Amino acid sequence: MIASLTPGRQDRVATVLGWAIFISFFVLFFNIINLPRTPLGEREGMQLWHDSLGWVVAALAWSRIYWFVAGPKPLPPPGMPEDSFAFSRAILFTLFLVFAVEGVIGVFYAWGEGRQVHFFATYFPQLVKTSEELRMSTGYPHSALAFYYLMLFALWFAVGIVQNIKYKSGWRRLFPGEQV
Amino acid sequence: MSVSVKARSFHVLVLVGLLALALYFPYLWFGVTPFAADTEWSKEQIAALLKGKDLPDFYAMELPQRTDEELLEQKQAFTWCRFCHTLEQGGHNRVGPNLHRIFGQPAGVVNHFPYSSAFVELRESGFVWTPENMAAFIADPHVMVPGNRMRYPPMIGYDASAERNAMILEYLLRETR
Repeated sequence: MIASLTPGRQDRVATVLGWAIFISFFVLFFNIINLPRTPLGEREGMQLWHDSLGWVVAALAWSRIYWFVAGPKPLPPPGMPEDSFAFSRAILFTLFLVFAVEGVIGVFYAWGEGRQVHFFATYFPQLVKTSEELRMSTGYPHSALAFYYLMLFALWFAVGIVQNIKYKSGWRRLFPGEQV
Repeated sequence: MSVSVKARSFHVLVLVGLLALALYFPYLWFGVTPFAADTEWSKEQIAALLKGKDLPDFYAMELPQRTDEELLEQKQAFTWCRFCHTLEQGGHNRVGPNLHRIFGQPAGVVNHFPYSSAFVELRESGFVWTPENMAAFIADPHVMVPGNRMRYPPMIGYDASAERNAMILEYLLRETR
């Protein structure tokens, strides 16, 4: 399976999951931008979408992490040293890990503030007692990880631009798709 | 794929360094902390803080009659404050404390809210919220209580006019009763 991968390309499962995460996160991102700008008490509808899309992104991210570990390992694009390629892969893996962990923390955050966790037309029952300690100890990292993935986006593009200048690896690989 | 130890170390260093920076950001940006205070103020403790202070019941004061349009304007003036504060009884603390019945209340006594040392000192000085000192606080929280964690102005280009501040104060008096 590994031998069948062309250098600079990834397999179909990784490609499809990459696109699915990109699209679902892109939609969620608009919600993330607007949710904190919406006054308390007027967030119900947005919260439903935030929870539901958050679940989707987290589930896809966990799947992608599994495939990162268990799936075929892509080879660097021609001309790119392995050390440099490994940095891109490490950023990408960390990004998926952050998405996955954000989902889990987000659920506990919602329970901490005594809020139902929506999943489109249904919701998940509260399994943990509402408490100020839980709300604050999960709310803070939920917010911090959001800053972290914004930093990872910036790092991803910065590293990709440098790699393209140095190794002519192409711009297309900075976005979802077969190229890595 | 064989990656050198030096490269791996560099990758880990960059990613962990960014994570450390990100963990500082919510405090830097919003002034929040990850810890809830375990303080619960009893009626007796609050009464002790209010002892000797002859304060009127601010909520018994009559507020000016307003049209629906004016009330909506007040609500809009308060919009940025509502990102961080709940006003209703039993409302959660958010980035800032719940403000239910704030007038006539000693500073820094909302249960479980992790106050800055600036507010702890204010409480210990015997400070009690009145419409007058709240007006001064709204006008410039960092002049009124230096060192407090409230991020102000809440955004670039925020209109902190006297007219807006007056609307916020009246809205608070109306909505926290």
